Amino acid sequence: MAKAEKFSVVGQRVQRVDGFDKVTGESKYIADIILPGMLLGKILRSPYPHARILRIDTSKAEHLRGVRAVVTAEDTLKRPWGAFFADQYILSVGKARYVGEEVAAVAAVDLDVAEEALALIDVEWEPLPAVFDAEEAMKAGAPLVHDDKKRNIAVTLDIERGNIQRAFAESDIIVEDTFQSAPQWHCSIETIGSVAEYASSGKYTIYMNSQTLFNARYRIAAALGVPETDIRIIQSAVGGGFGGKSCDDNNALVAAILARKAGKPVKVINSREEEFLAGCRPRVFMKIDVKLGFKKDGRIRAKHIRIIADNGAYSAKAPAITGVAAMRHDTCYKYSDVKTQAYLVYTNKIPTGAFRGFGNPSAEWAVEQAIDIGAHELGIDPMEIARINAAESGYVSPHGNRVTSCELKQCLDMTEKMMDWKKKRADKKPNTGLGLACTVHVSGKRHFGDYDGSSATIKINEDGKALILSGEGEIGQGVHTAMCQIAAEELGVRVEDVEISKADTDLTTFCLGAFASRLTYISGNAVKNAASNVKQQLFQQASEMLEANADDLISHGGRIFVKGAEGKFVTVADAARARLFRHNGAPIVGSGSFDADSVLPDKTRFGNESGAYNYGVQAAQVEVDRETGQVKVLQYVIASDCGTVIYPIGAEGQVEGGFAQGIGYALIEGLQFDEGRPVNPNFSDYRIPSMRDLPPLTHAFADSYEPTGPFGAKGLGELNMDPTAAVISNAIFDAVGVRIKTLPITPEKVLKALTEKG
Amino acid sequence: MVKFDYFEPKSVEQACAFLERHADEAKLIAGGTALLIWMRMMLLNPHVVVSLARIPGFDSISFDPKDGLRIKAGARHRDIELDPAVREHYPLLYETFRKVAQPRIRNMGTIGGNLCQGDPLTDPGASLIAMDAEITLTSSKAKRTLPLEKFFVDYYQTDLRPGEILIEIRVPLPARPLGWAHIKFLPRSQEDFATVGVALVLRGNALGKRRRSCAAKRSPMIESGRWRRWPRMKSIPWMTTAAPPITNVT
Amino acid sequence: MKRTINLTINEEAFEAEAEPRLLLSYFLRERAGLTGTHIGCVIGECGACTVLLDGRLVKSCLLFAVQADGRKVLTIEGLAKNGALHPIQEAFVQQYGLQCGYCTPGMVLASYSLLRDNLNPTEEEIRKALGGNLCMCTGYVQIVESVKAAAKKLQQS
Ligand SMILES: Cc1cc2nc3c(=O)[nH]c(=O)nc-3n(C[C@H](O)[C@H](O)[C@H](O)COP(=O)(O)OP(=O)(O)OC[C@H]3O[C@@H](n4cnc5c(N)ncnc54)[C@H](O)[C@@H]3O)c2cc1C
Ligand code: FES
Ligand code: FES
Repeated sequence: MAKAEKFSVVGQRVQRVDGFDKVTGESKYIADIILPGMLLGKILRSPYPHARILRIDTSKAEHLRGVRAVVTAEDTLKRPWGAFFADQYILSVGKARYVGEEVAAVAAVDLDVAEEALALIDVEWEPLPAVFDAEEAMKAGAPLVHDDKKRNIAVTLDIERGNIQRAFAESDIIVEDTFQSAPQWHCSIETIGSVAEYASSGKYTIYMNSQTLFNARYRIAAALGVPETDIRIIQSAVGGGFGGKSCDDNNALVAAILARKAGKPVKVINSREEEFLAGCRPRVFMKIDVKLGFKKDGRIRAKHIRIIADNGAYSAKAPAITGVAAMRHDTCYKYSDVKTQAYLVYTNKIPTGAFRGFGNPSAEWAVEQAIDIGAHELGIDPMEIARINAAESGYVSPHGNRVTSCELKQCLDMTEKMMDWKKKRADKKPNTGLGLACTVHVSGKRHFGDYDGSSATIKINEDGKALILSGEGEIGQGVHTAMCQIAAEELGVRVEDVEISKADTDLTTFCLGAFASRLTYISGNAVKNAASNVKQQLFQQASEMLEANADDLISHGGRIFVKGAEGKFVTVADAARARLFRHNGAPIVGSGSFDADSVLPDKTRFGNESGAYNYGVQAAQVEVDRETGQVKVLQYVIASDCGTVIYPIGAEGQVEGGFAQGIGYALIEGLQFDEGRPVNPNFSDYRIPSMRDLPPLTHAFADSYEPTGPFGAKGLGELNMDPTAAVISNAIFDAVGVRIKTLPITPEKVLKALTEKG
Repeated sequence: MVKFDYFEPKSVEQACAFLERHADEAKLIAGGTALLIWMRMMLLNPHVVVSLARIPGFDSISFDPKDGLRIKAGARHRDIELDPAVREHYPLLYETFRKVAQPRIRNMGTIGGNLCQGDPLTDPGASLIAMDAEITLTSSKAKRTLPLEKFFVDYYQTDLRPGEILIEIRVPLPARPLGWAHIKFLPRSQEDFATVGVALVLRGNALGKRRRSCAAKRSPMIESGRWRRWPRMKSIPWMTTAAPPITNVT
Repeated sequence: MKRTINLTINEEAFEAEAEPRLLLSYFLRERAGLTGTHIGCVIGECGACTVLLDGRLVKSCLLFAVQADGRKVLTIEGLAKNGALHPIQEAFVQQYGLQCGYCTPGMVLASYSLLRDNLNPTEEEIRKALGGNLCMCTGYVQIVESVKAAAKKLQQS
């Protein structure tokens, strides 16, 4: 149950710690980093979806005035690398497997020269038969993307918990349908880029706008065949990540080998087109068969899901994403018997990967629609079906996820109220309808090695200000502000007196970075522990100065005093200086660690995947124009359970931003492929929501407390885009009785469905 | 992008002379919002770029009740939108130019560039055709005037001849009362190019004699591919089709 | 053929050589060192490169620098005076009108242009004026709130 605690910094509407730099344009993003002698790099990309490289001749390009280095696979170890499976190369070895794959690269004095040089690289290609559809690719005789991957299958999952046959037999009604999700690009307004420098001592220094620095370091070290210590990665300001900047692409690696060969720093920034072709790894697209068995009273008795997921040409994070799509949602409702089958399949397209939601938006697009179908068939209000099945604190999912806090039912109540659901349902107007969906997400996930933790160091400067050293990194979401708040709360100082460092793999301890909605919960716990360590040292020092017992001390607003005797105090600065400037002096500095109580998935994929689970409910009222098929969202409502809200104004931004991406996914965004070649890889034809495209949104946070979280907090970042597409589709069905099963929901599809329905 | 030389003639005659001298090598630039994108994509690779931006008066807009509205080709969308005479006498044009992209593009793009680009997805063409606009083109050899409708040939193709410059668009003063509408159908994003654009003008004493409409069509990227059609004038006898009521009457 | 380009940037004269093919956005960033003008699409859609040219809002990726020769440019760096934020910038910090901040200079300049002409814009007017600026982080709600707050500040001053 929710627990009210009084905080002085946590939960306050503080200002962003990095706001000033951003409104003045002073923030240094990757493109703004300029090093002496720096060259600019450009990448030659495969024009074919699948083709053997018979010959590459770079001599003309090398002789062009202004060119300083040309690299091909010959300049690499030809050693494959990857997050889960090592299957991609820095530059094509032998053949290219998708349009946009990196084949060669040039470093030159300016971009125009680099581009001219690319045109002078002569590649002799032998086009090979290619396969673009995951289902086709699984068929016998389909062209093989990787020779050793039979039927192009990268991952197979086949898991049954309970007795699925019996459960369906015991169901009163069965709903069965197929849904198709779509790829989606992150479209961070800043594209991926890197600036790499190589010292003859053998050390690479790479500035990256990555959201996972230490994972990047690990992968880059592996691909270059050097120890991690020889790679230093420094995070620039990051212009948005959403999963797309988690180093599953070759940008930094190409910059690194160009820098080594040229002996000069090299900057490589993706153009927008490159970003679509081969930059960030888009959302995994899936075909999902769902079969649900319901009892008459609305309880879900059985669930069988079968997923075919498109991996693209190489495996980025899709192996983990497929697992999430197959199983995560079983933590949202109370299930007993579930079966899940999933196939991740190689095709000759861009590798797919991590995007806010990580498999959840695809799964929820399918499952939340199937539940809605069930509700309509049973004649039960979808709000009630959700209530009947909603997970609660203490629930353990069939896959072993242990829920320590859950306010899903509270979120349903809030949604019902904010939407005025009952009244709107009662006086339903023609062509308008209501839709609803629930979601669950993790707060961190144990999947990169047996570690789901974080660490941080805090030092107190001589002026009493605290500096957090953290390698997690800020990508725009505001985590640095939340970390400063957590440290300030624990230390008993003002938030203005806490600063946080940039992420730098040489100067900060190992941190996994921004993914899986983990930072507030996991890094927050680490920072809190570090602050607590530092506080003990401060109190130790202050106890000598105040001639009091350290256990009796408290701190507030930067002052340390005996509880109840505020008049007599020492400041944090006094204590820090007194500890430093004396015989045997030492700075006040302390570290803290945290590792969540989660389990690394094994073959059976059983075990608690995260330390805490966050929940949410979304609802929409839409109006459908029967003449054009156009869908207008009249009102949208979101209730989120993220435990204690540490940084309210930032949390609101997460909800609103996630929702906007959800609307883009549902209604607007779509990349078309023609024989594996993206047709609309630019912002003119791949539209993302603009300010005028977003409907009015009302949202609120549940009163919630996560016992294992820092001050009761858990994750939030991804929750808000997970169910949106299903919500819209459910509302369209309620409005006009047609169900759209492929994304995005375009007016053409709605109109076609309406026409077919008659 | 290719390297090019950049010239800024101070008169239309000079500009024509440049065009004649450099023939195939040269491209005109007005606002540059379209040309620049093509050049970046290497779809156009001119070695000489001739700017119309420094020709005095090339962006003027004038109105005379007898003669109608004369818009010089260098006038920007925003200039036309904000022109008092346009607002008063040509409400359809005001409505149309307000809807061209966003203010930033309207501050840069010119009407001449828009029409000569020959992109049927853009907005002004349909409304200008519906208003019986005619255009004047000139080269160092000859000058000609033709109805705008005749100018548009095909997708990205116009009747602009080598060496020619579009200098002026004239729109006759419409008889009152005037019924009109401009509809820009934007199914995906409000910031998109139109999927379908329709400009409609109704005239005659009782607003009932005849109805004219023209449409620029395109369907969204997703699924069905584009319709790459130019607006064509359709004169439809009034009363023959059931049409929604026309609310804009001035 | 390189040309000398003379601009008045943020009220100071600036001169540099450039090939005619250099875009204004890159000229500002690379020649004038003003990296607050960001690059997001180079096709006129995202608005990250927005500046004011002779007082008019434009997208600097759709112009060659030569086209701006002899004219006045205002970039994000020209808004804060003597270390004090412009009221619009203040409002963006206070109302959290940003997350990653990459779109922010463009958003702030578009707001500046709007509020110069209209001190009391409606929500719809704000959304129209800033419609040409894409932001992938915020969902725009807090940006709109920032512009409203900025309008209030400007009305008072
Ligand atoms: C982001 C974006 C959004 C847009 N949205 C819309 C929209 O919603 N609706 C809409 O209608 N349009 C839209 N446009 C198109 C815009 O209206 C045109 O790009 C613009 O009007 C072109 O004018 P310009 O002066 O910039 O042309 P330029 O790029 O300078 O020239 C375009 C072409 O015309 C030729 N040319 C220019 N002037 C003349 C002349 N006087 N005589 C002969 N040839 C000439 C040039 O050689 C070139 O080939 C959009 C454009 C962009 C970039
Ligand atoms: S970079 Fe100029 S509008 Fe996107
Ligand atoms: S704040 Fe990141 S793009 Fe707007």
